[in-house]
Amino acid sequence: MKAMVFSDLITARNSLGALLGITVFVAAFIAVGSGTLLVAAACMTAMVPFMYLFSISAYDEQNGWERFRLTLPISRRQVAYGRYLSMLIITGIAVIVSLLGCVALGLVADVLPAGMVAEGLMLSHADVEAILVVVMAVVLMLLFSAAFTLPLVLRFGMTRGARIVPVVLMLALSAIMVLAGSDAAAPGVQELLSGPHALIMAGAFIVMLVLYGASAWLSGRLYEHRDI
Amino acid sequence: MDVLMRAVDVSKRYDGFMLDDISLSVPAGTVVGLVGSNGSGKTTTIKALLGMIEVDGGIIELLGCDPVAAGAQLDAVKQRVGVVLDTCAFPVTMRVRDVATLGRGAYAHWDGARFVQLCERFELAAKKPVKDLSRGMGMKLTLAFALAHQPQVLVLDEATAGLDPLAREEVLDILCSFMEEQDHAILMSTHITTDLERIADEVVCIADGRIAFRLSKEAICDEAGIARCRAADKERIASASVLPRGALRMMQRGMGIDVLVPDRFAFGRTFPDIPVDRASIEDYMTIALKGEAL
Repeated sequence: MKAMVFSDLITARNSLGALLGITVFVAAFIAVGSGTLLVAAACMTAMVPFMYLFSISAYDEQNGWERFRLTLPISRRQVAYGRYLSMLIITGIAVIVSLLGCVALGLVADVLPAGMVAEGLMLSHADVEAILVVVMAVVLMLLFSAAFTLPLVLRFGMTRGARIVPVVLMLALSAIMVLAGSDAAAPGVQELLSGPHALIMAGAFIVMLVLYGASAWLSGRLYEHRDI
Repeated sequence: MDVLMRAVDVSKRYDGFMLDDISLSVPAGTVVGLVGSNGSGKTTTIKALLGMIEVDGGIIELLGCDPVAAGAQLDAVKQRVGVVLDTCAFPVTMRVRDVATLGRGAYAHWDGARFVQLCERFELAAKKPVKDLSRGMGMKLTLAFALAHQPQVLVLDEATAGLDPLAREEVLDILCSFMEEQDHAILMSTHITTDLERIADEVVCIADGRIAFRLSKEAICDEAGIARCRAADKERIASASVLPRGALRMMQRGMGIDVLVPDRFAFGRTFPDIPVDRASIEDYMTIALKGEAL
């Protein structure tokens, strides 16, 4: 699996720098426009992993790379598991970049003359807990999306998978909204949201990691029987 | 002699195509050429031999193990197999030096110095992005990658396609050097049959998913021949031949006919008045596949 993760990260490496640069640039504009670091944090956390997820899957289909990769000493299951692991690594990098980016933006806002930018952008006024919650919430959303997207992409390929992913995601989100809005589920959700953030996040992360692991397991099996 | 790759009665069915009872073997110390028209089943055969597809029937052995059932053992087997498919498949975002990094991560016996040496020989700059490589340069990069992890078996699918004659000559030299080790072997699918005339020991021809013929290169290029006959000679050859009727194949060529004869010396003794040329692999394949029984 190490070779597969290696392969994914090498493939992404040359475009990752540019993607990160664009992300920080876009996040800075959004932050100035919205007057808060929270949106910038969400933007910086989400953009690169999302772009990575789809671009790395698209590279698989270029020039027969997916077919050639099967000739390397990497099993099909390792291909699937490696893709999940590389997505986690990229998400981790995005979290670090996002937090560092928020600190950098906040520091810049601090040294600017008073009144030039909104107070919400300044590090001295930053709600660190809120930023962390936003970043973690985005990570949960990313993992959720990857957990639904990757089995479809690994089973059908990026071209066909890209057509199916939005449908499945919308159905999944609708199902969640219906459940959250139903009488039976609502008290539980309300209770969860009013509890301490750390506990909510920890619980959500455990659930998400279980879902992510199950998705990886499923992808491994689906990919084993795909004609490439 | 150890057989490094073997297919026995392998079949694989797709919509509109079927690989049917393919049997071939690649013993150590030999170069086996795979020829046939486009869509005949050469690449499917290679994919089956490498365990890239599950076959519907038959037996596959790659370095002594079934590549589909091998599981984790297959990774160890693939460490000893170098593959060059018909395109430079590395992601376009990679540079030449990234390919070396990939090799180092994937192969236990990756020889970085050998890769650099081959890249220098092929004039592949380390900083060059894969997307900027011509088809020929891309194939050279793939070949350098395949050779740098010290494989025991090389599987080449149209590896010399797109190379200029000088580069092809260079690649064939490298393949000859590779074969200096007694336990090495090459399975090489190609449309450039002159490459096989230079390095192959055996030629396997696949047509419509079946083996059309499997012969040593000597049987084709040294023993077989093309008899340049007049139309009037046709009946005489058919009736006088020591071979059973229908065993010879012929093809109309303008006013005359070309007859593919398995033993040009024996034919020459029987018909001294009919000129017989040596057969090239291409001649042999063309008449064997497109010709009609005499």
